[in-house]
Amino acid sequence: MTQHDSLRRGASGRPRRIEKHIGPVSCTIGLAVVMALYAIRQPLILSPFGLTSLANVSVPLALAAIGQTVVLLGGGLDLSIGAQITLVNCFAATTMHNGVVSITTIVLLSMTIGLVMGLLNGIVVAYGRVEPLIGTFCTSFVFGGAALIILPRPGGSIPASFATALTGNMGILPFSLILLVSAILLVWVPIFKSRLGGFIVAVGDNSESGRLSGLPVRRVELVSYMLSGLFASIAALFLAAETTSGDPTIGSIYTLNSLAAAVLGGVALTGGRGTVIGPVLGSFLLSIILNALGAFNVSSFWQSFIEGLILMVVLGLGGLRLLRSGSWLAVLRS
Amino acid sequence: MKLLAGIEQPDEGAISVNGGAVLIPNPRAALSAGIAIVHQELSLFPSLGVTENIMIGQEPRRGRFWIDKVAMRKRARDLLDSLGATDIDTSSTVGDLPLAQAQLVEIAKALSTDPSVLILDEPTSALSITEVEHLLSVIDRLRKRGASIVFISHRFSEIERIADRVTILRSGEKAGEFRPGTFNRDEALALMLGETWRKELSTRSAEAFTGDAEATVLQVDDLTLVPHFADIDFKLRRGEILGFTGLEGQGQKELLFAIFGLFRKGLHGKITVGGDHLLPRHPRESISAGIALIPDDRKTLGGFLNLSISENIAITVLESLRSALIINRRAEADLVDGYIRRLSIKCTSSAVSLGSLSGGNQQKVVVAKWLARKAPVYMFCDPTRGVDAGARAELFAVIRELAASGSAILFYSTDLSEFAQLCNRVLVFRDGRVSGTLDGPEIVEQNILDLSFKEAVHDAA
Repeated sequence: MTQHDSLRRGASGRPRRIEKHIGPVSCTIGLAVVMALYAIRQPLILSPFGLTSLANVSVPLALAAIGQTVVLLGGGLDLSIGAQITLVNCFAATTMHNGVVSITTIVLLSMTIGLVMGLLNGIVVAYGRVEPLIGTFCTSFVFGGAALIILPRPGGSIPASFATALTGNMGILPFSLILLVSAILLVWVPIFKSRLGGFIVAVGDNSESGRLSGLPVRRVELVSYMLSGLFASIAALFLAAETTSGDPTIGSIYTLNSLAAAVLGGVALTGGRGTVIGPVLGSFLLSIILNALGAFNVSSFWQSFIEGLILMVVLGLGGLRLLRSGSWLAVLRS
Repeated sequence: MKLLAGIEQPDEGAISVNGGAVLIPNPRAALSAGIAIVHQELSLFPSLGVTENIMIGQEPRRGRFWIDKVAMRKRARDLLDSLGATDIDTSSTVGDLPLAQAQLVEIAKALSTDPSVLILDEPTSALSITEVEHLLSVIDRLRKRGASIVFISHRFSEIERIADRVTILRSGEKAGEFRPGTFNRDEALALMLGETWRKELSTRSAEAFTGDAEATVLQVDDLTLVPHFADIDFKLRRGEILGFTGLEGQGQKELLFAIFGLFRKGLHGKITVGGDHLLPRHPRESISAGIALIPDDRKTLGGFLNLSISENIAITVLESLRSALIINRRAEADLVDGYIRRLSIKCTSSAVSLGSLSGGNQQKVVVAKWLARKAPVYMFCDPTRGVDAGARAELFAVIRELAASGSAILFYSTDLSEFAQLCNRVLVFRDGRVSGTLDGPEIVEQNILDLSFKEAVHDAA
């Protein structure tokens, strides 16, 4: 009987443990392979300038993916991340002037706008009980529309000092990486070292249990959307610095890509499971693949085709694992 | 129970804890009033660790903000140790634990709030006999430490073993109460059921099969599925009720699931239904061979909770009810009403959703669904789980009637006392194999337990 038990537990216990690391590990391997291939075709990519430019295309996606991950961990979904990025980007590009006071004020205001947009999402989803898929899809039009009102066509400007501070480099160390690491250390780490992080993961894992355990489930969901807005606003500020202007379409690709990067990095779409390092690695992998396609003159139509394929395969892999199991019940219950 | 937990609100009346009146608008308020609940459907987080599950909401902190992980782990460990669960690793993931250990984690979680009152809602319904015994001794220990405990159970043996004072509730009203030392099974049963079912249950004992011994409907030879069961042989005859018994988790459930085609690979041996060989890899194959499964888990497996009763019943026979592409609603209604009467399903109309019915009536709808297909073999997998005593008696009447009308029945339950009431013959399972067969009047709990443990004793020697 004991032998039976261990057989069964082994069967269900082992894959789960591997599962936890499979996202980050496969992203690291993928990243190494892609970088190696890229460097063979284009050795300059390993120069300080090349590395900085790769970091600069990856960091906004990484920030968006971290925001998406907070919401996914809490059992939600944020389809308005792209529109949030667009709105903050347009706001910053139309209001920021040279000078420390202006820059500081606009940065703080931008982050506040991010939090407020997250608050709106949270109210709609957590208190209005609208499905996240529908709720955030609707708010994305509100945010995107607001961006078009502020800035109907690409324009505006960003002070050069702000741009250099975020996108420059010191030797092989790009400033953008410092921004990413600080965002993780100042926002993610404190949250997930405190009870709030535990609550987010718990609610995402099983919100009914959360309620029965006396957790403030709706407030936790609300906060997860606000954090997503905060990360989206940081991503938007970085994009403004990178392009030194505003663009009312700039954010649209980040909605699906942030989701893809999070899933690539092993975050469960069903909530409750995921790390921060996974989505960051996933973002770099995805961004660098797309960047390489551009560098090798693959047409942009093909780029979006290939991107869609990658996303499909990544999302499908989760299901493939289930079909390996011998019982239909396991498939049904997942 | 749900009022005390803060899940539902009272229409009138008051709740007092330690002499003071409290209002419990939500689960959080229940916890701070000192009421902790061990829920029947566990309130755990499967992806999180044992420590995190036990301590959620009660995390010890360093300063105002940071969680003290070391203290948290230690407190979780202490709580588990105090329950005698020294073998549960605090760092393992709760989803990987067997149900019995998860149950202990749930209890540790409830104790983490230092409650004045601990409520256990049918904590044993999913446990095997040895696990139940362990749980009861844990509860004993808690009582000796001065805890006040409300223990909710349908099983008399547990009540006799554990309770000081017993209150019987029927349909939301207090039906009776026993003072310490006065508990009496017959009286309790009468109070629980009302007079109608009393005779039916207390006079019943197992009867040997009297039908045609040659009329084999289902034959199973050398059926094996590693690691669940091996070398299973049996014949099932028309009109016979055959039980799979033994301790829980000895492969009985998996055997039923395998016959129903729920395992995609690894099944070896031979299944013969009505002369045709079958080794099903998908429920479709078993269904078309005439095998029906009424599963324990109605919520996810047996029915469509949001659909109406009639939609649930007609779903397996839509094909036969349609002419061209249009479904004949009149024929559907006649069929459904017939089954509602025949199985005495209690409902206001066949249009109400399955989810709004009680557990026992939901189970009858699932039975009706298969009746509509006129399956020759019915397999019942722990059908009375979470079903009250009255509905259980009605369900048993349905099963007997099925057998009497010529169907063959396979029956599995986690409650050993049910086999004697229902079965003509039982196979006792131990470690995935049949360790013995009991016929008719031999089917009593003591004999089942003897066979369940026989080889275990032998192994130890």
